[in-house]
Amino acid sequence: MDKDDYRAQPASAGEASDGPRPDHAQPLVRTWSRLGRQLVPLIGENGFGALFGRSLRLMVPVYAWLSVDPSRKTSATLLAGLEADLAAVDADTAAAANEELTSTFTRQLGALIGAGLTARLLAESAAGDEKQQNQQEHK
Amino acid sequence: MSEKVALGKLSTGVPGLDVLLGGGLTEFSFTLIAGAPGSGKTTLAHQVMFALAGPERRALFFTVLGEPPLKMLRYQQQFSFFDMDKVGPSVRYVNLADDLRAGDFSGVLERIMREVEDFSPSLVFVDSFRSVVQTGRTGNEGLWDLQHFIQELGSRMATWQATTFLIGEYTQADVEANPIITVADGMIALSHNQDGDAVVRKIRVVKMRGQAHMAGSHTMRITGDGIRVYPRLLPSVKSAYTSADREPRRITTGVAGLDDMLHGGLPQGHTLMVSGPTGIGKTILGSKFLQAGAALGEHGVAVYFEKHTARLHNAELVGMIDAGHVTVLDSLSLSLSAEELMDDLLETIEATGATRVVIDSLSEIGLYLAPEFRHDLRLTVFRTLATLAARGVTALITAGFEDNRPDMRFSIDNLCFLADAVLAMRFAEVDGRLCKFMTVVKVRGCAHSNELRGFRITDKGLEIDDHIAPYDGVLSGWPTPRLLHK
Repeated sequence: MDKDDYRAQPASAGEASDGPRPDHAQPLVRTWSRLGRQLVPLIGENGFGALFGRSLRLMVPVYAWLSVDPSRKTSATLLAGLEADLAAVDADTAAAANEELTSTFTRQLGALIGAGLTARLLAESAAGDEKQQNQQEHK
Repeated sequence: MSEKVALGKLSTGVPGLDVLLGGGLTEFSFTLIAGAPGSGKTTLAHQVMFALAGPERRALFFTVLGEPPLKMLRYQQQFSFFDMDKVGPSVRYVNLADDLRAGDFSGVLERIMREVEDFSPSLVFVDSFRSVVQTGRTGNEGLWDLQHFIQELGSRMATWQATTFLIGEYTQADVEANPIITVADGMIALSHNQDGDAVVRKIRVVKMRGQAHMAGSHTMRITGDGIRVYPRLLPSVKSAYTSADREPRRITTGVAGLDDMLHGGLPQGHTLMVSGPTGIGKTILGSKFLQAGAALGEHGVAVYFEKHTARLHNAELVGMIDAGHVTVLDSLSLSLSAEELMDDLLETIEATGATRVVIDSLSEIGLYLAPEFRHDLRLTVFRTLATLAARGVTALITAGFEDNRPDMRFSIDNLCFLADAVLAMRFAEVDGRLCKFMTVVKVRGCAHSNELRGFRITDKGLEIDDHIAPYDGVLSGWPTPRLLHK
């Protein structure tokens, strides 16, 4: 997946609305995008997609508005779908759902590769986030 | 000064493997790690990677279509060598599955090069290489692609000064006819050989350019610490042929009469083989030997191959174990390798500082050994005793055998030739009773009694007569009173 390109294929994903999106969804999904960039080279598109899809399914009983579409296979289409879902609800609800989704994903990954390695990978991703944020602030 | 290029050697971090490789792995070499599924290829690669990787020597591990990366990380981190802190800064994993789906080797090669240029690794691993090959085109075109790919990869990695490993699910037959082997600088083949119901892992350095490696198959084990290789070599004994200890320190056997027959006790560091039929008192003598050490503050290790219930009747042994004077090694495995036996023994000696070892008994050890080691019991015992000798511990080993008279054998399988000292214990019929006798058959380098003496097992242990047995023909089983010479 290219850098921040999860919106590159919204049409093929069939999920993105044509109208303007509220601003609150994009920053939330950008974090996922960076995490994807970190994990996909390590565990492959399939590995990331499977973990993300499984986490989404676990969230649906609580957040029924989150869509689960088996046709979404790549991290780009999955994250485009997530952004569309988050944009369709208010900012507080989106933030709460996203936080819980992150926590669920972390637990799923931790169950497979251990809490230590998971924390290490997420910390590197967070460091990447911070670095990028600092670069933007200095522009 | 020589103008020849010096080949740098890398220590693999796999105990024993550097010996097989002839001193270590050649820097910038291109090595194939081959073997059937489950033979330990990925574990070997990870162990080498974590041993060598660091801030100054980064490692790139490419996963392809074999073991899913999530599972590989899940299982590899169970080994003690997996250093979490190295993952990220010194060790990077890259999944090539998506690049490989097209079946285009050049695309894969370019992706590998992009990652190499980005991370500047000194070590590169591609696991599993077979899956790279299988996605290639078939026929001559595919073969050319593969050869070209391997040659390109090999030369590019060497130019990049990266030591490279290809990990592949190959058997020996596959590899010999495969172009990879001609291109690779080295090949390490792993296998797990089944013999009866037991499986013994083996490792073989098939080729290693530029250095003299050890040929042949060698046993290896995989434990929580990873792979350990056991080169088919005896441990060296310092000053074995450079000095002679004419007055060796004697240590007590715990039986006063026996110390007397040994002219002051057993020379320290000797291996005493106690041979005799069942019920003669070999195990009791072993307990006394340990007890004598415990009384002097020495620690002992006992390796028992008899049924558990029988040993529990030995209250003295239980007392020494409770007091922490003796550590018992008690294998439950019935597919034991000589290496497992020696590992456990040496680790316990190291951990406890033991100076005395009892192995009871060589006649039952075969029941515990995997067929390969059982069939060559003499070699197994030889290696075990050589290892103990190199450690300098004093050992008492028992060997039981059926007493078929008249017979002057002192052990099964000629094992008595492997010991430094031999004590023969025998039954003989005297006045309607089954009486016990012993004699010292040999003590290397030392004088000793050649008398046959009667002894009894009492509450105090073994009580040996202080005089020669007054019978002739004791070893025949039917002695006759000796006539006094006038």
